[in-house]
Amino acid sequence: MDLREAWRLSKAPYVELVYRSTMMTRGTSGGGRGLRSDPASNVKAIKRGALVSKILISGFVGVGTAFAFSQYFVHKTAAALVTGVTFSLALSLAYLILYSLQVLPSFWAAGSYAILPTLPLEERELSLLTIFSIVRTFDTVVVVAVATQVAAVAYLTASWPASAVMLAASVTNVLLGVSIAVWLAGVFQRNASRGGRGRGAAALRFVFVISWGLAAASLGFLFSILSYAFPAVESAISGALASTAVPIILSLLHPFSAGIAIGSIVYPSLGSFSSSLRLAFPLSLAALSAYLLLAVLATNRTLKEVVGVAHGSTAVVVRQRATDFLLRLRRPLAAYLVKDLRVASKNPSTAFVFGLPALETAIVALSLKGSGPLRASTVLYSTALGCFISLITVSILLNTEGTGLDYTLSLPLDARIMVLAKSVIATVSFLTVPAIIGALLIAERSASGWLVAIPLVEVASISAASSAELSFFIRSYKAGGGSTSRGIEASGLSPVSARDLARFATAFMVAGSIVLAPLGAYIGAYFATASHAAAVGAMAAVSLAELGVMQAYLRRD
Amino acid sequence: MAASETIPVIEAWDVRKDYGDIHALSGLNLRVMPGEIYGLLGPNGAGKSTIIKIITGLAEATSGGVKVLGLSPEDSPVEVKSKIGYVPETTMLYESLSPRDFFEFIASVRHLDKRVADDRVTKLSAAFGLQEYYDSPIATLSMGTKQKVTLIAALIHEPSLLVLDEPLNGLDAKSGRIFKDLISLHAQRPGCAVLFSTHIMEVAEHLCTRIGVIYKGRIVAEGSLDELRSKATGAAGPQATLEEVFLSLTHEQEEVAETVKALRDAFSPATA
Repeated sequence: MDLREAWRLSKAPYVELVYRSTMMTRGTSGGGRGLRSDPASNVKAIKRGALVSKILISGFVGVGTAFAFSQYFVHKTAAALVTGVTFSLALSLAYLILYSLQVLPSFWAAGSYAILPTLPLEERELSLLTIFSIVRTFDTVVVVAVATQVAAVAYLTASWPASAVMLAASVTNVLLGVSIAVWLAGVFQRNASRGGRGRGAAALRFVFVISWGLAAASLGFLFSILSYAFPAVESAISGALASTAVPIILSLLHPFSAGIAIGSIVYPSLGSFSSSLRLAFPLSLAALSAYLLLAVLATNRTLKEVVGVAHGSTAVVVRQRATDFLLRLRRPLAAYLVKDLRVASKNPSTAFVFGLPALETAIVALSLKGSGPLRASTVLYSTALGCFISLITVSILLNTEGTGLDYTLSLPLDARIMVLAKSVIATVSFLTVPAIIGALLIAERSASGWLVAIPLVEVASISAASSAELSFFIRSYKAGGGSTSRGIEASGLSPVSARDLARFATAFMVAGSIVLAPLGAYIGAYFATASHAAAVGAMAAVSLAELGVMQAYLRRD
Repeated sequence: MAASETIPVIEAWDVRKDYGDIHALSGLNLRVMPGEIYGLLGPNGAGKSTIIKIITGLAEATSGGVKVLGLSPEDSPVEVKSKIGYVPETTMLYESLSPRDFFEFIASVRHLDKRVADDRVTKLSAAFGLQEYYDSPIATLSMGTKQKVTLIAALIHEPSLLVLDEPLNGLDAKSGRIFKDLISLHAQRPGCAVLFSTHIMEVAEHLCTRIGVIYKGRIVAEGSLDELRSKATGAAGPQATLEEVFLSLTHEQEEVAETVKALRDAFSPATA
């Protein structure tokens, strides 16, 4: 088998890897014949989704590189170049790792490769097929990352040495990224297969969930975070370069080392600013070489592990023998809520939910901080931002149902319980917004306490909006002739299906209108009365009315 | 005779179910009385899982009607579902939960008393040997162990009606035997019945009090094995096995013979 043949044949295990990972993270219905969630459609949708996802991530990496170098394009300063190089590498590393969270979770379970050792393949051929299936996972993203970063430095600096260093840094970066990604997939597998109910196991799972949730949450919002964080980071790098000791520390850290090395090559005068900057250049080149060596070693180890997975030598499941069979029973709503949290917490795709409060905190705090002293308009804007992030929780929680939904629908459980449980989680995730605004008001010793009432009053609206969003999904599935008596398809929300996207967009618009109405009432009442108290009163009236109407609707429906 | 003994546990009349142009059920009639273990036999795609989904409230009939213990699954879904224990054809569980988490969820939703739930789950889990797997994610369990989890979840509330879609899938001999005995015991309880579909003729032959043969979306024959033998034509005689009766009733005997002949022709030259 030559390399071209191995590459062609590696498509099968690659597709299987993507399919199994998607099934693990999203879940789909078994379905019956003629149903919309039939397995054939699922396979097609998942393959299409994997391709779209890879193209999108590659696009993000390309656009992210352009974004990172945009400041240097406008103002050709050494600090802007260092920032551009550093940011573009950090961005592609983050995207590469976050992308792998979606496509690699099933890798270590080895099921995708189970058939290969049974075929009459030589050791080398088996290894090649496995390695190529992993290469296929990252190919476009890696090529786009390296090509755009090197092209950006070559075009903007017109320096061959700088471009060569960028090439080395970029290759190091992607090799480290892929190694970290495969390692993280192993972490996921160990977590997913770990049993036990002891405190230690629970604590470990909790740490895993928070880390994974935060990492997953960053993917979709990397750009919005960047747009807030970019100026702050650029000014921090400028400040660091001007400081005495910090450049030396940065020159040893990836990806700052690449930024400082390239900055020093393009701007030789950089070293004359301070003795530490003079020392930082050779240090950064040494660090870069060390990172390249580390990346090669890590890649070598990763390849061995990849081959080991295909041979089934790494799949280990540790079980703990139960000492009792006792259950902890709850009321149906609480049981459903706990179930949602448990399912979401063990799934890298839906662990996103746990990252949202932290993400909301970061985005709202940054948006408030960047707007000077707290004013009603800033608080309204930040509240709206927090609302929309919380509404995303709802669609994520729909995905937690996965393959279990059909079973749940066979239970004597009112659909209202399902809606309420998910709505409670979305509402709780929003509570960080009033907390942040309250904390900032206290820190600022602001005289207007009415401002904190804005996000607090909005809590009722968020509850109504999330319930409406869920109800809309359920109704639209009913209208679409869903497979179940409750009309919900077990496949959850597929981000790659046009039908689901349209449904998602409409549900989001409905829910969005609900959260915006009280904010609109505030603005209208304030313009009419010039009183914050009256405006908050109007807002509360609308918000509570929405909640009341929604609760009545749920009881009736 | 108690009222619960006279009301059919399942009554389905002229049930039709269309998926677009496909007619999954075309006028199916079915009646299961208390004390019965009703076996639903049929080739793949005959409509077994579809009628089961309609009875359990997971799908709605295009026309016709179904009642479970006198209640309509469409009009009173929660009441009907509270009386049913369901084992689906494919194990559709929350794979990231452990069996313990899953039973907690099921028992809570079914409003079970903790003492009762603990007692039943402990006995059933011990009987099916779940100690090793009780706190492991369901995703990591074998097919048979997943099936045991589904079976326990279906039995946990002592339902009036057990609806089992291929319940013996993946079960080892010991667990299969325990489960078959449990089914028999369940059907003996007042007002209770079992509906199950299976491809294993031997199980249907020995376990079921009545068998319905479903073919192209309707019941084509129904009764005890002896009654079915008398209805079957062709190769099925008085000593015929259920498999022969089944193939005769579904007109598949000749097709099987032709297929085997064709396969023999295809393989013989190569093996010669």
